[in-house]
Amino acid sequence: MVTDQVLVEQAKKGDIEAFSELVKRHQKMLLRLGIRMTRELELAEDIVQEAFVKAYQKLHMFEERSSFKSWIYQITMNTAKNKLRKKRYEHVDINNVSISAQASSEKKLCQEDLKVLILDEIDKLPKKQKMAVTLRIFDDLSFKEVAEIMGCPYDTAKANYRHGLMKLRHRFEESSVLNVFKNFEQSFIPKIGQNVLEVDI
Amino acid sequence: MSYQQEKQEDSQEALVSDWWVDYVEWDDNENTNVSVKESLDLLVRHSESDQEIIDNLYKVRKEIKSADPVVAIEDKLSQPQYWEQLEAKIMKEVEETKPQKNEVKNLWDLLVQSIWPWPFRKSNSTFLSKAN
Repeated sequence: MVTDQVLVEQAKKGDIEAFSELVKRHQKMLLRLGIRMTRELELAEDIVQEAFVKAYQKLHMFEERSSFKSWIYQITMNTAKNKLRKKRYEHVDINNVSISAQASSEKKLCQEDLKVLILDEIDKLPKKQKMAVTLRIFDDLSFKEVAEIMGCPYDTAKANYRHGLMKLRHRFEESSVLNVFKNFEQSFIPKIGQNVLEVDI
Repeated sequence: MSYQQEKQEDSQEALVSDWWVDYVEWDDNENTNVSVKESLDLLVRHSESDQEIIDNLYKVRKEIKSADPVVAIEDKLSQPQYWEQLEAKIMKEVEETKPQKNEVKNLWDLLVQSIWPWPFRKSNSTFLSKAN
């Protein structure tokens, strides 16, 4: 299999097929990253497209000090941030969620709120910790792969992950997220108002 | 919380929490040692407090995983046609784009050429090689 490095070299010389192969290889990872950052498929597609166009335009500036994977990942993250800034993306405020749903869908609604809460907590982590946590847990990558994408040594990637996970554990304990999930597991259908109040945001 | 406080807290926390997370995330890397894993297994089996923390970490991990927004559209993403279409869409846009010229590099070369002492200019490489 041809390496990314060879494909980049070929693409730099104007081989569009080589660049197409790079798109094929990395679009899945990048789209997932986009969805996680924006929580919208359509917007994530635009971000990935824009990121690849930027990468193609600036390919001559890529000096291969890091891997192509790491470079395109950083471009996608920055593109997503800019898009979100422009869009003034508003996170769903758990206090403003309208409680007009039927009792049968209350559980689902509450679970969705908790997912939003968890994602918000992940968003609050320092950049590198967030990156390590999402790559490891969401993408199921080994620490070696995480380190490659983050462009840092193996131990640094692992340390960032440790700090991130421990912080999340503390925050979830503080906000009773774990208890609420435990209740769900026991098939307890919560009364939305009460449980939202119990989750100390 | 100030940066310094946070850093101090992080380092203190790291001292005690390293092995819990490493245990949960046991990574089959060449640096990891099987005998260490066995020792930790033994430790966890005989310490209720450590067992509780490790259970909580597994739970946190599980809940984070379940909150992944990608999971909700995984069916769509598992279709090969979806990726073919996305790739075609991206490549259409790429093909309409021209790669930027390396203007910064060109400017830098120009600057170097204009201020560099004459014998060291790139165009005088023959002179340099002779001199060396």
